[in-house]
Amino acid sequence: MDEPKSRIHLELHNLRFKWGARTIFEDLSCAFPGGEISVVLGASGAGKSTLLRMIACLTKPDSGEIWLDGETELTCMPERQAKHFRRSIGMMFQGGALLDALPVFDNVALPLREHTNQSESQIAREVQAVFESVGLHEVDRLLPGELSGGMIRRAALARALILKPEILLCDEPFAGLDPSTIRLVESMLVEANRRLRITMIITSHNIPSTLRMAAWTILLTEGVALSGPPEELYKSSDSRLTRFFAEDGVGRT
Amino acid sequence: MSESPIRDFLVGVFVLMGLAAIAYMSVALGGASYRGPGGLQLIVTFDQVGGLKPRSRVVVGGVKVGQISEISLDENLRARVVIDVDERLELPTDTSAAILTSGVLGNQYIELEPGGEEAILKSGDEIEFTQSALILEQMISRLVQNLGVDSPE
Amino acid sequence: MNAVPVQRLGRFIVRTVLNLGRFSVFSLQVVRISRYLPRRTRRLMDELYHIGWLSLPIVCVSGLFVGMMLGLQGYNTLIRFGAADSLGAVVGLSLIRELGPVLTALLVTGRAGSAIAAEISSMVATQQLDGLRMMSIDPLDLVIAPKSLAMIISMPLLSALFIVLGLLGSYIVGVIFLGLDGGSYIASLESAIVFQNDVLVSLIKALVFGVLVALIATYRGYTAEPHSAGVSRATTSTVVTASVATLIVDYIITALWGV
Repeated sequence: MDEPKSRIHLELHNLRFKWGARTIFEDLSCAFPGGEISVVLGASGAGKSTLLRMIACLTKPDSGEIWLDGETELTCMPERQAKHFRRSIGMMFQGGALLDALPVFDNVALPLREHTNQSESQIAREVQAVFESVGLHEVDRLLPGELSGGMIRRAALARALILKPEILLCDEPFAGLDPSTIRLVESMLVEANRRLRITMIITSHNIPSTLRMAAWTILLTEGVALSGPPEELYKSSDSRLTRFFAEDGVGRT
Repeated sequence: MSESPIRDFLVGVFVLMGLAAIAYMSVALGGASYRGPGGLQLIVTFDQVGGLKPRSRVVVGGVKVGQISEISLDENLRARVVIDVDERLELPTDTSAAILTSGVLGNQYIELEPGGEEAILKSGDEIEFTQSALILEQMISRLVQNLGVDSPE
Repeated sequence: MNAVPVQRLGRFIVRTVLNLGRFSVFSLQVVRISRYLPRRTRRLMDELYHIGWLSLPIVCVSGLFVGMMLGLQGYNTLIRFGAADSLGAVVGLSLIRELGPVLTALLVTGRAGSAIAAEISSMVATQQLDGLRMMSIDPLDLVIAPKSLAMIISMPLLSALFIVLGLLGSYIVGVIFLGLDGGSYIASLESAIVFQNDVLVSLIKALVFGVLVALIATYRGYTAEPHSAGVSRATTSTVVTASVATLIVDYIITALWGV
């Protein structure tokens, strides 16, 4: 933390959310520092994806507030405004969520074609630049179904970054990848964060990679959030934390 | 998203084929070219129209020239039929109309037989010489009586 | 124990009414978003290819054989009354008024309707639609509306082709195989069919079925649960709902037309 960040930060206050009969968030409050990588940990079903969807205004909490830079409140934003707001958010879904029917190039170019009046050659240049930055080559005409898991994450990241978002949400970017590919995706995300200085929120249950990349960590458990720098959480003696780290099968060394 | 001329061509072929099929059904089979009033409206009064229905054919010498637009009763309790025929037709005022049946059990239609007068019929005129529909049951019972057999009753 | 069936019935009724309400709202949204369709000609062409062109072979082959079957059955029945010359009228009326639009709707439901539902519901399951929303693109605009319109355009065209192929099929059987007079076949066909009574109803039916199948398929796909069981449920229920709805609406239109 060498300089004070002027980047967008998020504060979540007293979120409550029920899914059917199940309470997902009891009374959840936490904050995400601007311009840094924050990792949201939690067992499956703890509401990690729900949290991201709430920040993206795709799901509304039953009560509570989400403040953007202490200025804009997201939960009571009307859909029209939310639609506009989402342009400043990039989201990398679990599994990529690329459109199966379109070649990779068109997938990444889609937001540009929809929201800007750029000519095809300008679009092609921008897409190539993004491909370059995430290390994708020679995949323009391939369909998403023809890509490997790591390539799909790269393409998804490229699509999330193409509109130059201020916040990047990544839902389980490491799920279902082998350790070396996890390293690769990890370095790709860190690189993007360092280069673009965007606020990144990543959900994961991979503890080693969290320790390596996170500046801030949030653990969702029993409907509340425990947050702090990763090492601090990891070394904490709070029983909820020790149980999570123990259950995940990563011994304390 | 990506251009694909072959697909577009095939879609074009598909749409053209479909439109051709609709046009064939409408014009060749349905006779859509005779649709709606606007032609020559003539009034014909019959004692008996039998199975004649609105939109049945009107023919001259077996050629379709129009259709029936309305069937109602007049004040003398006779059937008043309004027919709509091609306005280019020049029918003499002594034209006669007859209700005929295509085949023994087929649909009924009106046959117009032009006469020899110089003056021609205008829209709204009435055709005076008419021949009512032949009802098959009446013909049979008359035939049976003429043959001297007791009618089944 | 007696309460259980009653409860189930109640739940069924509530769910049906709820679904109908949601379906209506969904349909209105699709209609409203359709004002952006002029920008989507590229997408519309792709969907016309998938829904229209690719349904062409099955519709044409089915039409031909249904026509041949009608020719054979009609001939066998009519010949007993010495009215085999009316074959054209019998086949033409049944094809144009009922069989053409209805069978086409059922075939297209099975072929394209199920594909639409499967595609959209798997896009739901793999979060592709959420992905679009995150890019501020309305899935109704980019995905649902072009598919629906393509279905609505294709249905009358396919139905007309089915009918014409059917007429050809019965002509082949009646005139070429069974030796009827070709002229009287055509004459009885032409004299029996009236544009307002028959052809217009046929086209209206096909159009209405197109709207029905399009909205049911897209609605079922769009509201599918986001997992693979949801995909298969959406596909099955599309075929069932759309087929039954087609038959019910067919009766209603026939009854309303009063012919």
